[in-house]
Amino acid sequence: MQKNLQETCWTLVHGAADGRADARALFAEVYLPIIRAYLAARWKGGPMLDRLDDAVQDTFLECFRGEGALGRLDGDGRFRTFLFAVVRNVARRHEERLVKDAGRRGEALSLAQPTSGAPGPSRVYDRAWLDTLLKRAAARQARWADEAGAEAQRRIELMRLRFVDGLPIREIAEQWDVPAAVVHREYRQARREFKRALREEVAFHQPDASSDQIEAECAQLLELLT
Amino acid sequence: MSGDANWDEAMRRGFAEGAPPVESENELPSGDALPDVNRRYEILGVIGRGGVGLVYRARDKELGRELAVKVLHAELADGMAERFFEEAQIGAQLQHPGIVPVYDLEFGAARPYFTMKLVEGRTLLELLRERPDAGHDQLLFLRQFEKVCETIAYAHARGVVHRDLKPANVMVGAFGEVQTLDWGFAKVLGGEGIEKAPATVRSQGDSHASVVGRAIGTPAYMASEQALGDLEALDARTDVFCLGAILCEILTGEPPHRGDDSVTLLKKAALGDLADAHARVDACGADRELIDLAHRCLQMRKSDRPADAGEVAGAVGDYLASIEKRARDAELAAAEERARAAQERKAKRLTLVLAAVAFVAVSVGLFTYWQRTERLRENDLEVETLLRTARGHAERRDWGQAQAALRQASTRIEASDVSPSIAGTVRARSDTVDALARIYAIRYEDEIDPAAVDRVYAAAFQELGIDVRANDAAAIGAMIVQRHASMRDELALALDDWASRLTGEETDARQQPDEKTLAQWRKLVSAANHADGNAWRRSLRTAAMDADRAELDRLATEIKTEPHPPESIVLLYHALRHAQLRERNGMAYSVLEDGFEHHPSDFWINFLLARDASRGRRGQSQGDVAVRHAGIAVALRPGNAEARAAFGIHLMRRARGRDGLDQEDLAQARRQLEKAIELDPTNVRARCGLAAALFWGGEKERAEEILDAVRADNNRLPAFYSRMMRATESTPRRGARKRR
Repeated sequence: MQKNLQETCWTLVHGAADGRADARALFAEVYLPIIRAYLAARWKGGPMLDRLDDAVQDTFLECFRGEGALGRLDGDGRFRTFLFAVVRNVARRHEERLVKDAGRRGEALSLAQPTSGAPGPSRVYDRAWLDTLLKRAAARQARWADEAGAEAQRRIELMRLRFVDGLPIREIAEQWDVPAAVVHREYRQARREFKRALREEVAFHQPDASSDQIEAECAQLLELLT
Repeated sequence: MSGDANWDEAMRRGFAEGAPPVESENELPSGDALPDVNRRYEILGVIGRGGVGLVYRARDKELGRELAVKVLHAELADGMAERFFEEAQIGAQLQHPGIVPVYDLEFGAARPYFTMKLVEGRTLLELLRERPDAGHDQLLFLRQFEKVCETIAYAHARGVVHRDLKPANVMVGAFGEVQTLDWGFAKVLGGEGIEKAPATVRSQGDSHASVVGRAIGTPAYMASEQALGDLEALDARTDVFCLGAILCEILTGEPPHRGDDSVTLLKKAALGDLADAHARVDACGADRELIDLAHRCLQMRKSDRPADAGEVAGAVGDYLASIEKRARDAELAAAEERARAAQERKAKRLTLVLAAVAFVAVSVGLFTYWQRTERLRENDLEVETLLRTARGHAERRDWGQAQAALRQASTRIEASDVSPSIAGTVRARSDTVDALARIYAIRYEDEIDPAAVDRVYAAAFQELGIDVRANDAAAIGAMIVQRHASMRDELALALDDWASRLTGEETDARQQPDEKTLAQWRKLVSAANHADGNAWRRSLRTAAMDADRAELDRLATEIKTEPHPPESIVLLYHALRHAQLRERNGMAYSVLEDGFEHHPSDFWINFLLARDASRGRRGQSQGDVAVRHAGIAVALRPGNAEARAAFGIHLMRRARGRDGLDQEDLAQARRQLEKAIELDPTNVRARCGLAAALFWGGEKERAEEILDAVRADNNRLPAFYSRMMRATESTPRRGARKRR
């Protein structure tokens, strides 16, 4: 019986470390954009960009290696900081290697081309992390809706009409040919469901966190949107 | 917790296009749900979302190739399975390079999926939106658009309509291949083969994901009938509208319907509000054919649009063909222009080359002409200088030097270009000077016989153009005056000398001449009288011809007291000698002595004094007088071979005195004779004198060699030299003799 990969992020990571292809595929799918975003921001405009794919691959390997970063964790850490530490260390290793190679060839090397006004790589990492969690939260909410039935699915449609198409509640009500109050009630319910889904996502990555810690993490993440 | 604004943004991001980049465990084709997928295909990642399913990149483990796997959305598994099956069937049945081929369909699994060719590239939407402006690479996009039209035309021909045509559903490969994707909303017209259309669906903006909704298609590209959800009305002309919408975006940079939200777009599409789109198309600046085509496609009423994609493809093809034809024509025109320009350039180059060649030729010619002219001028100047030099020598009666200068001029003429007139002058002057030199040379000779004198003088005058024998005295005198005015006195004196030698006054013959000789004498003296411009000399000649001794004595007395030119003194000398033929010529000699008092630097006076003195007519002591006057004559004319020869002979005569051979005189005589030969190698007098000097000096063999050469040149030696040679037999004893 396969272990449910969705229990916590650590079950996913350990599943991948154990060699499960589905776990590795899911891990790559979820965290690849975050890892790539960080490395791309760190090496923007510099010669390291050529090594980006290798670094991504090394990050994955480092995450899955039992005696690596994963082995040094006791399972209680925050995955966000764990992944950040891994990808940053991998990035440093690649940078040192490139600098050493260049030094051996007697060349001067500038690793990055700093761009004025551009957010730093850690900021990019946090935003990518947030985006991933938000999309996973929306997907989680949709999944719940599928399980819950038509009314819940209708709320998902409501969320898309509201936030993707940008329709005001009144128009949605006209479209649905229902009173606006009904739509407002459904809308409030949908928002609560989304917030719950986001908390679930945070909890997925911080399995041992208290509800207050989860609330604090959510608030901290949403601050990134301002 | 942050405020509602942050939550709104969080939800917008969560539900935004592209959907979550992560998939839940349930959405992954798990072993339970898709056993075949896991068994044969290794999932490598998500590529994207279609209207009804998720598309994965996968590897076919059996065939070892990568492909795409499209899995029906879990939430649509019940309602859309048939539709999903229909999409796979369409993909499999439409065999066209512009449609992604379907490899395999698994419909029995919990979640149906089908595999198809993995298409890698970029969507037309991405490429269009990367353009800096709508006109950028428009021809390239029109060619891609033509391929889309052809693909859809093929589908229409097979009774299939796409119903969701938009740039995001067109994939452009790395090698320019264009494929139309996402046939998930396609419909087979006429209901044959593929069942009825699915329930109404709508897409999320430009995203690939589609969920259950009210209308099929993408609002920004939708035809009116699509936006109204009139599924039964959708046919090939609906696709034609979408093609027009793509064309609109290619031409203007934006789709026909613009708005801030889907509802607005849907409303515009439903109402057929295309005024803005048509205005933008009109203003896009494209060719009329394209604008007209876009207008025709973007008509609200289907009946106003082209019947199907084939018609659109044809129009686009015709346009592109016309563009290519225009390009070819332009290229042809440009090529012709280039060829014409090249021809012109070639002609110009040829002209320039010819002009340059002509210029160079002319320049070279001019330069050569200039050079030749310059050289000619320089040569002329040089020759003219030599002519002037010769003239100067001639005026000083130094014929040897004059001849030398003229010889130099002749050599110059032979070696280089000289003006013909100057060359002619040199030749004429040379002839004249040579003749005069010969005439003068005779005057130096004191031992020549009268017959030889007559022959040599006649030939010399003949060379000057004066035939003395054929003309009378007056004519001869006139010819001298006319042709040789500057030399008239000299020639007159030459005639005097000629006459005097005929009568033997210059020889020791002392015989009375016969009548014929006297007649010739008179003719020559008369001719000299006609030629001479000096009145005193004319009266002298008249007196001589009349044998008027009293007049001659008077003139001889007069000349002692009155200065006369040296030529007159010399003439008087000759006249007196002629009159004193049978007398001693003491008076004649005294005339020269008197003349020497007045003209000590006159050559002829010194020359004749030396000659007369050496003849010993006034005693042996005169040997010294002869050497003195001969020395003066040489000093006066150092380049005169005759003067040097005479000086050498006078020295030699003095050396051969009664007291023995004076070696000093002999050596000096030898040097002077050698110098004379150097000046004139043909001079017989000098050569014979040198032979005598060598003989007397004991060098008999060398003397004999010289005499043999003289004999060879002159047949026989003149009597003088014969006597000189005979005299050597009585060579006085050798030994030093004290100079007196």
